[in-house]
Amino acid sequence: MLTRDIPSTMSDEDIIKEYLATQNSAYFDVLYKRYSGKIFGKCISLLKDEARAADATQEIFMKILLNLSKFSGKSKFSTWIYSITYNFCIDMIRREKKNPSMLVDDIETKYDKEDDVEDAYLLEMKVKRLKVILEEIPLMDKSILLMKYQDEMSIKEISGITHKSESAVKMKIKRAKQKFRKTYKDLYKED
Amino acid sequence: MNNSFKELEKLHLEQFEKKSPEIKNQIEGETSSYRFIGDVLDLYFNKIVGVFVAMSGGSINSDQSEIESKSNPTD
Repeated sequence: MLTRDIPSTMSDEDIIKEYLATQNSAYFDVLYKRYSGKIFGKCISLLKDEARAADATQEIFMKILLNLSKFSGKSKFSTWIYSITYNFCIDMIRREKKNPSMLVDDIETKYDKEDDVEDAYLLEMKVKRLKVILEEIPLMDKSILLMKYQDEMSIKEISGITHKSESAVKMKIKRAKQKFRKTYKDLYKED
Repeated sequence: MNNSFKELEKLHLEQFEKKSPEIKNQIEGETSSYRFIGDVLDLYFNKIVGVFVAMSGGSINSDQSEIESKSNPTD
């Protein structure tokens, strides 16, 4: 079996079943093609360094392959691997403790009084600026915004990954958007 | 509506293109090492256990013959 013989419409779940049953590398190739770039993208957004993101991508993929038999199919495969990716990167930064202030899972309420930020404010921003702002805001806020707007996860899915209640997730998204707007205003005052 | 987050993802995917083959080779190398260790353990696990049993003074074969002699008494 060659990679090109596997139909592009074959679901992730079927590919996993076949890979576990046959250990044929063609199935691994398909999974790698579908997800490695996305995993790398998340790693580079969170770790801010290309070489570290490449190493992390390799380790995350190994983790996924070694735990593939534990994937129960309760969630989408993409949600499962993104969950491994986010948790891996967050743990990596925690271990290094290079910048503890970036990890603060804040309990501030000062943002609650501010207006809600429209989705369009974030979604229609220039990519260069988005990149700069994501580098400035705390890690947990960045993660939750990536889950919502890049991975298009539902509140329930984010709640499963972050181990927080759905209402807590909604509140965290709201605050992350407010912090995003504040950072934008601080950085681009002239606009 | 645009999605700048998706556009950022595309930029990262382009950046990944150069790194992708190298990372894939490393993953495949690591996977085959794991597979090799697994195969070796599969093949030799029983023998390794036998060595440890022998080292600790027991004998797998004598235990087996003892069981057989008890189940087929000649007297």
